[in-house]
Amino acid sequence: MAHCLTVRPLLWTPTYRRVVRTAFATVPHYRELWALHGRTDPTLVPGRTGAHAGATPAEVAVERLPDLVPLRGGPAEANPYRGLETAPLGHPVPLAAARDHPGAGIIRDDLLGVLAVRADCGRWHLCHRDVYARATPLGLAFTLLRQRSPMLVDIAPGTQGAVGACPIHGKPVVEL
Amino acid sequence: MRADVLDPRTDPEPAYWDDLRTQAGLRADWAWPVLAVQAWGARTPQLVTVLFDGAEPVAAVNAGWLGLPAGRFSFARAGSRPRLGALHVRGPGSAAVPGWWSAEHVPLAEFADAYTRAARAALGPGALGVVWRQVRPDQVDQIKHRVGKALTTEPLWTIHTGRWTDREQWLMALSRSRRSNLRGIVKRMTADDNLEVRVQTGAVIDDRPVAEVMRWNDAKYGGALIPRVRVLGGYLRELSAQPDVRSYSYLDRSTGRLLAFGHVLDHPQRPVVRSWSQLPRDRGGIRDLYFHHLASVVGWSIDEGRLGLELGKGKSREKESLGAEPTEQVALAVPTRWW
Ligand SMILES: [Zn+2]
Repeated sequence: MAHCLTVRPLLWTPTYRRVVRTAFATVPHYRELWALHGRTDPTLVPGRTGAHAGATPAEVAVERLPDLVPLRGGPAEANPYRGLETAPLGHPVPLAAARDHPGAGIIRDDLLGVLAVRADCGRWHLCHRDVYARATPLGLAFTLLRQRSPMLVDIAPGTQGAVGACPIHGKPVVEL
Repeated sequence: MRADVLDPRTDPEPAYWDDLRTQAGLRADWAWPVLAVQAWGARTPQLVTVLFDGAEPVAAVNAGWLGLPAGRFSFARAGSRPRLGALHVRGPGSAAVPGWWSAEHVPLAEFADAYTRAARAALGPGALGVVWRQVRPDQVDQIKHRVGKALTTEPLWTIHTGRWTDREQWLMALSRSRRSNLRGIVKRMTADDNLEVRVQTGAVIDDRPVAEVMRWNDAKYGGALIPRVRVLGGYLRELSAQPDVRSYSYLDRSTGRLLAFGHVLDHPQRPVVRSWSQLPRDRGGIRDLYFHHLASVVGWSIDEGRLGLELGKGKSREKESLGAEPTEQVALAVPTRWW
């Protein structure tokens, strides 16, 4: 969990908001989605709040990877192993299977990479240095805070859940 | 003259817009939802200005507000405008036709003056001037008011399809070599059972294969980094959905793969052949498809009794060989006058 402790959760949401604004200003997919339909938290165009709070289903993101590349260019391939090198050893499970997964493990998504790690408290701790999560009508939506291309912002793999704070560690956790 | 200076990103479609478009013969690239998604995808703010005589719209101008600071790699920020810059008057979706219309009874000089005043009032003292594109040589003196600088640019090409009653007549007007070449191309494509040609109006299209073809079309980019397509996918979808837009898809029937794509913006007299993109041959593209496409669009234009097909600038030799004629055009920079 060492890498998850270096950023205080306090700085977490402002970082996410900065990423949202950068995506809106430089990435075609988010420009179109949030300008024409809208989003929430933050809203970018007054009055436009979007169909799913601005989240993108993961399968749509996979189909539109070239549109997730910023205007200045960059790779358009997903990295399913992102975050794996710094994550503690554990059995990787997809988000959809994490709820029923017993014991130690890490949540890994084919598009987003490593999202969360089960801590000794038994909760799924978000790797919040790299990942932001919020609940949307499409389920949990994840944002990679440090990946420039393809830019993945509010991507929903399709699993319902909530984001909270661990009462023991005080860090962001996903509740499935 | 009273003026509305509108930002299509956030300003709703004016109630008079449909009537104005019909009256002015503004093609589908001026449809409000198309203007809106185009402006959201632009790197500089796009402004639509309408001038009124009393309550009646008598002129419309589309312009990009080019200025500093400008982001090469970012879309234009909503709600903020460059402090210093110039208005670039051009067609919103096509450089083959001018970016302005004014009613016949409005003198051109008066229109240009009223537009500059409206822009100055809306943009403030940082509006240094107006650059007019696609100006005809005979219009220059009226627009520039003795102070502008004129620059002759590449000519625009038009195939005057109204001269012919069928495609055969058009072919007979071409050089013998081009004629037999075109006949060969059309014959070859028609015989190709694996080539599917789909022409749709008001179409629901999947923009992804179109964007893919556009990317490959730009030969100077490699495949390693994804180069930007100049428009948003939503723009391609919205434009294709307009009832007066013809979408031409050329598909490989066996794989379903899109090989080439083009738009034609219809008009009662002068449709515009707007864009053409095709896969390179080493990616499965077909040689000479562009000529096949143009021959088919020319045939349609003749059959529908359109006066002329606007082809825009560039590829002069090819266009001339297809019977197109050039119109000289001038770019005109007119500094703002403060008196
Ligand atoms: Zn904990």
